[in-house]
Amino acid sequence: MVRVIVEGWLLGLSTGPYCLGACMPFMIPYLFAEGKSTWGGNLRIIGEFLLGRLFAYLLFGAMAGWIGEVLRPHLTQHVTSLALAVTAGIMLLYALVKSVPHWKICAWTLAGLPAIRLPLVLGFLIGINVCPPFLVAVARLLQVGEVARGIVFFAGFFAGTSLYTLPLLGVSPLTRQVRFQRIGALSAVLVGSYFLLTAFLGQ
Amino acid sequence: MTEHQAALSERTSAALACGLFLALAWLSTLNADGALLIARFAWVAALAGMAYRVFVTGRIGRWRSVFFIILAWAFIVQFKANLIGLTGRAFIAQDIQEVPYCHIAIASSFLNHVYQQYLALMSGVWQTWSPLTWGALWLVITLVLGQAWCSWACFYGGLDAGFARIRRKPLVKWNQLPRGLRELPAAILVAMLLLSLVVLKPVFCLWVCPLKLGTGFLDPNTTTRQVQLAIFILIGVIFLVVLPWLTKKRAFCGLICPFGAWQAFFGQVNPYRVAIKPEACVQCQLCVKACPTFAIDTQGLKEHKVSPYCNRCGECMDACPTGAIDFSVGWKRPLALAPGVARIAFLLSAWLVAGAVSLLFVPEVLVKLCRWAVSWFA
Repeated sequence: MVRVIVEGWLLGLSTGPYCLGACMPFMIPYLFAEGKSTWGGNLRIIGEFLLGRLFAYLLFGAMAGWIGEVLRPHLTQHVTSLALAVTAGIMLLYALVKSVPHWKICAWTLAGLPAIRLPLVLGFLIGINVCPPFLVAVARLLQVGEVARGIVFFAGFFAGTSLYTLPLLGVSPLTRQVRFQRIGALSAVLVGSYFLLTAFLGQ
Repeated sequence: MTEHQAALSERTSAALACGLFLALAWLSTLNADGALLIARFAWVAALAGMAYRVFVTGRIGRWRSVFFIILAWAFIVQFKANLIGLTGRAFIAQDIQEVPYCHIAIASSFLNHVYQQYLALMSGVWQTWSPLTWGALWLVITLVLGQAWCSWACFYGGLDAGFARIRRKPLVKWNQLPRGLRELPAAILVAMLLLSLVVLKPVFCLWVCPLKLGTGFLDPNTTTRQVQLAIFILIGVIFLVVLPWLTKKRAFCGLICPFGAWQAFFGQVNPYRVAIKPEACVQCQLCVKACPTFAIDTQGLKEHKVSPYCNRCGECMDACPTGAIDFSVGWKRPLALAPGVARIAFLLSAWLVAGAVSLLFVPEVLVKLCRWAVSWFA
């Protein structure tokens, strides 16, 4: 079991920069727009985001261990497209609410989300967006074929990749300025639109 | 036309223009002979003439615009001619059409360049280190010109400015942006930087750049290509042609261009600023109307502040009836210089850098045009 967790952790460490790249388009605009003036406040946001990712990874770890070879191609393809579209859609709605608060329709659509905690939701959805390192991890687990080992492997993978998200705290000083909050909200609209469009086009 | 407060004497203007001519003429002799050398000298002489008119009238807008628009269109002609020479076709082939080749693309996919540099350094293959060279060139231009690049040497800006100057008066008045949209170029820059890093491709080039209409994107054989083409057409028509023509505002530069946002940030290292003298400003709002990139708005004017997006085109100075707006030198506080010194120093820097950039393609285009004209009439 120790070998499995170390293997997951090393895979996370070696491929983490790619994971950071996948998370940044969602996290940086969100932190600009919604970040707190204290490092602790932003650490909490990143913590929630990471928690969402952890849930996603553990879920996927369990599923990958359980499902084995049978459903692999269908699972990865469909879940990826759907998760990307949903993530982008939520991001876009959130950004529209921030950018044009007088558009009531967006506010109404997102009314339930604050209770669920947006960083957690985003973290979960990005967590199940399949990136190449994630695919490598899934492929390895499909060979293992065991639920417990799957969870442990992805816990290690999460720990390895999460180290790379800590530099995101560096944007904390910027989030105090209204200017950066506006930039964050607008860039979230653009990022959300891009991912929604590419998900729609099946890119 | 009444004489502008910043007008210099004929003698001083002539001396400055001669200095410019000599400096650029020396540059012209590098790697050129025959017809190209003559064309370079002719262009430098014309440029010195334009600079003379700016100095002697004290009005920057008209002759800067003439120079700027010529530069932009010459770039387009030269680019197309080189493309035909390189590929035998007017449109870039499939395998190279995703390569970024302009400063806007470099800004929006900068993180990719840093990553490529890291890979190049680690591999030890020196031939792949070229982005550093471009980086050094950008650094020099930023130190000397800052944001002024956008109004003096950018071919995109020249196209935008060309359409903005077609009408004498705007058909639709659009003097300032909603507050929420002022940061749109910076938001586009942030989004493009992040997205380009994720997909390891220049997303601005692939999805936004209207100049792609002139390259390999006229091959809409997939749904994605058709969507990209539609976006290029929409952005090109709306922001480069229709809005500038209707409003006399440079809509692409003021609302879309990520390089403008990039320069607004890094251009702060350049010491030249546009400053409003509170004691001379009468709040007439003429500068707000004249600014083509929305860099002066009503609120900013009340506080006598100019936005970091200002790209030193000089239109506000030409419009100001009291001479309250002028160039200054200094980062936090303007240095106490004799009247007119900051202006002369900036204009010399701008003409020299923009002139040197224009020498890369305007004379060659002149030669080509002359040859085409000769063969046409022969």
